[in-house]
Amino acid sequence: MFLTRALIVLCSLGLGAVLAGCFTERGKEGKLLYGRHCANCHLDNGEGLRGVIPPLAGADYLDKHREELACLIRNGINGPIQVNGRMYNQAMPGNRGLTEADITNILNYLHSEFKNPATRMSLDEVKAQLQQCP
Amino acid sequence: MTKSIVYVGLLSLALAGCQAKPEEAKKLPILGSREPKVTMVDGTPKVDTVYHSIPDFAFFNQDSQRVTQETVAGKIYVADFFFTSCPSICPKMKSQMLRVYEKYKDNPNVILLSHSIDPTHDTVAVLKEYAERLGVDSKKWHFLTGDKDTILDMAQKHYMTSALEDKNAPGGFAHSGAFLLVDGQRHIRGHYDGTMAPDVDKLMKDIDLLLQEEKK
Repeated sequence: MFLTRALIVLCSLGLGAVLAGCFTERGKEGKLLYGRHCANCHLDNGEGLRGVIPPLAGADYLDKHREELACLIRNGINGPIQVNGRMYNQAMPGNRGLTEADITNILNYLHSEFKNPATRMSLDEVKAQLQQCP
Repeated sequence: MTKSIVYVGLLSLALAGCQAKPEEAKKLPILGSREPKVTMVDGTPKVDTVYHSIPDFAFFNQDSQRVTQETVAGKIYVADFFFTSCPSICPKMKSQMLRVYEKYKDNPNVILLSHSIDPTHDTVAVLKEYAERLGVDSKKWHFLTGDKDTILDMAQKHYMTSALEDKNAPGGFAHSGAFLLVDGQRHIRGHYDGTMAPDVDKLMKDIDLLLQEEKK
């Protein structure tokens, strides 16, 4: 009797720890993914590199092209683009290893950290975008 | 009681003594190997120390101008190795180098040399566009191109930083993000991680020290 009770307590403690780990990881995942896949070029603070790499922080591009963002992250982009009235022309490599959930996490990190895109992206929205990639 | 106060007082005096460093101690070291060189002066042997120094070089900058040891003669310079299409650490390095540029852009005694390790792609025209996009002056900040093997050799052997062609690395080249501080005699006086802001803060402090030293 005592043993089973102890086991139940232990199991629930364990489960609690696992779940807590899960949630904290989730919360940080966007930041980790951003650091690993985006920050080298766009920098930790999202300001980009003057004239060469466009900013993400305060960039009008993210709301003007909201429906293309998931494909842009996965496949990269080539050729000139205009961000905040300035032309940029530096190829961005694709990130084909990122899952739909990863891309959603990154976009929501941009939303919470840099205030654009103006509203959060749902996993369904990202999935729908990725099905329509050019 | 009074005794212990005296002891504490003495101890703090002793500690204060430890902290106050004489001005001479603030000289930057000369990095790299050194060899004794013996010459005979009036029949007696005289020993000089020969320090590692950057050999003569000749590259082209974004204006198609030749940049050689003459360009940096008597000035101090910061060297790094990068390539314009680099998807890994280069933008971080360049944003940090921009800080150095902004601080010293009006000081004619400080020069910046960014060597492309992918000179086949980074032609004069490509470097010109890159520099113009950054909005920097080509008399202060030279983006260099030239013979690939010579540039890679300069990085590896003389600036003592790594730069290699590597098909598995992002963009095709593996290289360190080092910034090297070189004095008016072409001795390397400091080595910094050009992707880390605190290290670049240290570089700018060291540039100020070196400028003081070169004035003497």
